[in-house]
Amino acid sequence: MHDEEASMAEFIAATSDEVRAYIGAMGMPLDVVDDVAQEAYLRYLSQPERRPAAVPMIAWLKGIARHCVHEHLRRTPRGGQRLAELAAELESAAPSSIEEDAAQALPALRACLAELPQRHRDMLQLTYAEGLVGKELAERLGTTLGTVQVTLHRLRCVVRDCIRRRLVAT
Amino acid sequence: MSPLAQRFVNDRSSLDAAELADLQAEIASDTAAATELRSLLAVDALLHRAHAPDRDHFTNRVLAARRNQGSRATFVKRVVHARRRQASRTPVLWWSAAAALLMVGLTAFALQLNQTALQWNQTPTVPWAHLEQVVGLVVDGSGRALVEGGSVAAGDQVQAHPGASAVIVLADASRLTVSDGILAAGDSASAWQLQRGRVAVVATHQAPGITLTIQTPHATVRVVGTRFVLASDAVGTRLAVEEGLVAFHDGVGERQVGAGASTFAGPATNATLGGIAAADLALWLRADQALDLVADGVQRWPAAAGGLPAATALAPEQRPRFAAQGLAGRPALVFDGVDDLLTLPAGFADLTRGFTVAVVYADRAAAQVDEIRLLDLATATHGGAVCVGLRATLLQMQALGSGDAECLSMVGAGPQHPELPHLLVMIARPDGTGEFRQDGVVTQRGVVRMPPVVERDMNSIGWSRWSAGRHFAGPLSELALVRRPLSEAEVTALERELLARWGLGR
Repeated sequence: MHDEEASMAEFIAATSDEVRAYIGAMGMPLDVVDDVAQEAYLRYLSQPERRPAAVPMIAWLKGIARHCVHEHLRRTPRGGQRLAELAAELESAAPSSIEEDAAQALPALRACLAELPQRHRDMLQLTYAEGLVGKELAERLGTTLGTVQVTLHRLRCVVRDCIRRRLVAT
Repeated sequence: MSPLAQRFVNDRSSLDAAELADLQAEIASDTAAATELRSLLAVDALLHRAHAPDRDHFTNRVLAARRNQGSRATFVKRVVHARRRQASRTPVLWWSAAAALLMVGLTAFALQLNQTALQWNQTPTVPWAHLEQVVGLVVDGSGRALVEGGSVAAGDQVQAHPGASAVIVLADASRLTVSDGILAAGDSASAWQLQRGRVAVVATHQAPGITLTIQTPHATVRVVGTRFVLASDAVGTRLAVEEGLVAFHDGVGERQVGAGASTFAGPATNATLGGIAAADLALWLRADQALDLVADGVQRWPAAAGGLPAATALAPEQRPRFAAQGLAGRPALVFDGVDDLLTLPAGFADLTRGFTVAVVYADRAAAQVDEIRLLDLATATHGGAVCVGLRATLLQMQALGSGDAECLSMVGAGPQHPELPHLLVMIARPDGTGEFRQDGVVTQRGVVRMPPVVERDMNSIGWSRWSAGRHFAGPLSELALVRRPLSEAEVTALERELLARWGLGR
């Protein structure tokens, strides 16, 4: 790897966790978060000199990412406009420590997952690794759609609180 | 948090436009609700990442996409020039006769070009690729020479003659460099078949729902955004991963191969040994089946059948070297006689019904070494050890009592030329009789004691702490331990199979 590419790799590795968490927190569908983040980095890397010296790197990157989110949603045929409006609303909300410290949050999350009962880990595995949602997930787990939705919501809250505790502890 | 917000986090596509508007109004009027939703969406994104390890290769993906930005532009430009050249060859006769038709044709051509360019700028599901860096003689399935810029579509074949190579660039910027072999496109841009030869892969991050797979006669490799080299010949398929993570599936099962590691798979078998029931096997290792490698060193020797233990090198210096033609022109693990050894997990407790050991090996240091072990199943006190070894030019089979300090062993003459490949079979029966067989011939009968039932937890191949630290030197291609003595008919069938497999027929 050339020196220039090595420094780019270092830069991406240092910032991408936070940028991707930011894009995810804008309500983007999970399967396009990385696509949008990639576009944001490509734009930044094509003209890094455009960043004003006074603007922190991560803030500049998030600004580009925000443009990319809205561009993507504009091209989304069904409900894109509504999603863009929702994203704008979410942008005005305060970001969580998890989002701003995503690099530390990921290992904390893994530790939190290890503390969960096996049945809950299985449910998260089906949801995030196998991509099951809604009725399909409920059928696989032999339960109702409502139960699945409530359980998933509670699990996310448990995981969030656990991550926060671990971030504070470190 | 409202049920609407919960539904949105669970599935972004589950809300219709009216519900999205309601949710927007809800968080616009309630700052706490907006903050709560934003934090859970961030957790949701993190959970997604934590359950998809390939997303850890995001940096590589961005760099690969950046490198390819120029590549795509170059390709589209090349297509435009090619089409223009083709148009300029249109016979002159048509110029005067069909000016209007030409206009129609040019319009259609422009639309086609536009579509081509659009396809390259869309998702990586475009079912074709193009060629770059064609070096030497590279032809398609019909023997026609392929050139740079040529396209590769479903079912096409790219054959690089000896010394030749070509780079196939996929729509998602992944690059497959085929050399000295044949790579065929499957039914999509993400399915390829390496019929023989070598392919070096630099894969970008794969889009959701798409997995780049390369199939060889012996294995299937699933790619999750990485860089690796895959080589296949008559002996087997070898995968060396330079970056990222690759899922490797062969006849033994699927294993993940990480950066710096490699693995090997031989031809698929029916996973039986000499017609012996799987339940009777305690150990079965074959050098031509599956190996996990670091460079040429064998890190792990997976069992040739499911449910049996694998052998592992616990330290880098202990790794035997893999040689594709290490024994009689066939694959083998070559032990250096200095510090190579493989460790087996604890177990092998009850061998009181007798046992049979079969090993295909060559002993390159027979004349110099006093005593070494091919297989040692022992305990910390050495009590109850079961071992199969070599002592100078003698063969040795030992089964120790729990209180024995000395080996009570059956010893017999070894092969006349121990440095050459041999099949050695040792049988211990519960009535105390034992038998040595070399290359299908009985060479010694004697007495061997049945070992006690004891959990054996110091198990190794190629070394024993009880043999003064001496290590086996030479190639080892197959090792099997059966939990009972085989009958004459069974052992004959086993020997016939092994002698044929390793080219040791008399």
